[in-house]
Amino acid sequence: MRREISSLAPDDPIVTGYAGAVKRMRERDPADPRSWAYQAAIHGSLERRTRPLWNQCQHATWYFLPWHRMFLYYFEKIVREAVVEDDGPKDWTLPYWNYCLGGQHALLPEPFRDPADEEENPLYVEQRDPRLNSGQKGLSAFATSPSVALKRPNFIGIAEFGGPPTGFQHSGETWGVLERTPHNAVHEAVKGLMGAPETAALDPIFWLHHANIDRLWSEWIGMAGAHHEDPPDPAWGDLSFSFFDEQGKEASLQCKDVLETVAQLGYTYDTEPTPPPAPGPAAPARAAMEQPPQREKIGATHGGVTLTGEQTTVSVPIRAEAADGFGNAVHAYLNVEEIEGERNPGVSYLVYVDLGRGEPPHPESPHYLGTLSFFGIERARNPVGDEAPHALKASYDITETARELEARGQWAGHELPVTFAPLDLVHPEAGPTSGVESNPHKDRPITLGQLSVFYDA
Amino acid sequence: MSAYVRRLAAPWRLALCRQVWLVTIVVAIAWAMSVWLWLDPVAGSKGAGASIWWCAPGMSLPSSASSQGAIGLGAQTPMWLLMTLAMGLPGEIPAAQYVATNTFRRRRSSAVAIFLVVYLLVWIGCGLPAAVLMKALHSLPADAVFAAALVAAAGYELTPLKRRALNRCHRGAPLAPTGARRVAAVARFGWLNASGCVASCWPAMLAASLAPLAQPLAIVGFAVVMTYERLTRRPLTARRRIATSYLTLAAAFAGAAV
Repeated sequence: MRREISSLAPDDPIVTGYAGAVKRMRERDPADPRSWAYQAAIHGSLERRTRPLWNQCQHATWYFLPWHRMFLYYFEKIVREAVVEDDGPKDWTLPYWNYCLGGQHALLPEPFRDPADEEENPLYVEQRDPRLNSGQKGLSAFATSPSVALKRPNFIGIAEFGGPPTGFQHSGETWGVLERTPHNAVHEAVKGLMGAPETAALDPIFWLHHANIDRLWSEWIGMAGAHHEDPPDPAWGDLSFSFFDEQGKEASLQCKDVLETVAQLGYTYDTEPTPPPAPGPAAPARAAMEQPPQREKIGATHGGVTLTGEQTTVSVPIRAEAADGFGNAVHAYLNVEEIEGERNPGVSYLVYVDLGRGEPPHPESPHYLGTLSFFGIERARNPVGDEAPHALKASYDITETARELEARGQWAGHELPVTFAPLDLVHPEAGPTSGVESNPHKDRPITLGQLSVFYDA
Repeated sequence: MSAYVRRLAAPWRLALCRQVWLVTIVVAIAWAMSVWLWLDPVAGSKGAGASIWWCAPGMSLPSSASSQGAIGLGAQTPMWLLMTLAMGLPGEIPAAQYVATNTFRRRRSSAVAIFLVVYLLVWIGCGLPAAVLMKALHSLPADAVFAAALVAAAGYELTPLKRRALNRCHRGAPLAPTGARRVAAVARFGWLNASGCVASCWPAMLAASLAPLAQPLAIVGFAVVMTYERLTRRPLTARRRIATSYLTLAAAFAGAAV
């Protein structure tokens, strides 16, 4: 049973066992696959000279969730073995950080910030956002809310729960919705080692964050009446990934081996219910095995836009002759294409479509699409290891807005305003507009090559 | 093994636009013509190497030139074009798909055509210097020249130049939706891909042209190599594997030359 970290006392054997195991693993030879450095490098590494199975993490791909589930599964075995060596509980399991609950749960868990000394506390990492490390502020609800992701009806797709179909992809182009929020947003909010895929797993909070993402996958699958399904495609289910087990031996699992956490992997979550997604018309589910839809571009900007920390609105012209006949389309998407930046500004944006003039940006707005964050942007164009460079892209389902606008006669031939509102990811009281504020990063601009609108025809 | 094949096939898991299917058919026709020319006894008898790959001006211009006299650029260009279509274009199908998908439906045909024309023009422009180089090399022992070309190609695989060239092949580009800016954007995307492809693949093309025997097999082999390293998500692994293969082949030919 994986338990929520805030339900555990700082001296609970699960917490103290984890801290002891982290210390023990850090002391191991970095060439030992069971060492802290090696395990982190399996996710990503900045080193040019690599060892077996380094830089394997799967991002912006439909393998994002199963790969990280396997990664946690083997990591948990290694930590448990270290915990037992320290006379800890033999049934030790990885705790998770359910920041989705907000309030005190959105604070960095106490054992990870107190005592604030890296020598004394193996769970403390000084490079994190100091406001989190001090415990004075917590994660913004905009960064932690899984509600947009949990509302997605499908696993597969550019703007669906699990991500788009790809081959093996260490760092892909288009994030799935759960990966974008809360996954990416929480990485960016914590900052420091967590702020980049190549260093993220060196921070002990990484594993609790990913346990929560893993839990959200289970929650999405189990949502009553939703009929959510994992991909039945053999290209997904049959692909295997390799890791190291607690003996330091290479071991593999296929995606289809990790679908049932209890039956196949022997763990479950003590899930406190996450607030259910806000009611609203959900997009219709597509048959999982159907052919990829043919995409139809119906609007695009002529140029790009540069984000430097101010609220920015861009109008996307919707071409009249291309946008006619929306009735034949299943979905309409807003694509933010060719996202580039030398460095991650550490600022995320809230993305809105058709936000009225003077209307304040807030996540309960029907015009709110989700967040745009830049986890991994440094290496997209300049990858370190064995990886091809690529652009980053974010896709948002705007079907409901498009239908509304079409009904009002303001769709085909009109312009679609898209607003990017900068967000402070660390904020204690996420009210309707709190957290949305100017957050200049002129020295670390982000360029969006183009905004375009597509139908799935 | 099946998982590996699926990984390789992943870029093809696309709902290809009609225009991109046409590009795929062009590639297939180019290969069919190449095989037909190779099998054709008349064409085969023209070249000193008794194969179309030796008499094809683009493939081995000096061989033809030396045995038949100077061949005009006009006669060479179609064969060079055929080789480019057969060897270079398979790796560009995802790029053509990118162009089609990111263009309004009514403009897809023209956009893909602009992309292809720019791509082919860049390669055609490389035909002349290739011919001059081939002519200069043809007087040397064929096995030794081929082995040297393979060693050079292997060395090139491991250079930063090669990595940068391959990276350029992976660049996307925002495509303006309408007007002259649309044409310019598509042409620029074609130029990015073609120049990256030329910079990345020229040693392989050179080596393919210098193969002293079983040229059709050599061409198929080099085409597979070029497409593989263009599409793989693991370029470093691919480049190392390719360099090792080139060196192994070079050792075999160097042994034969001795």
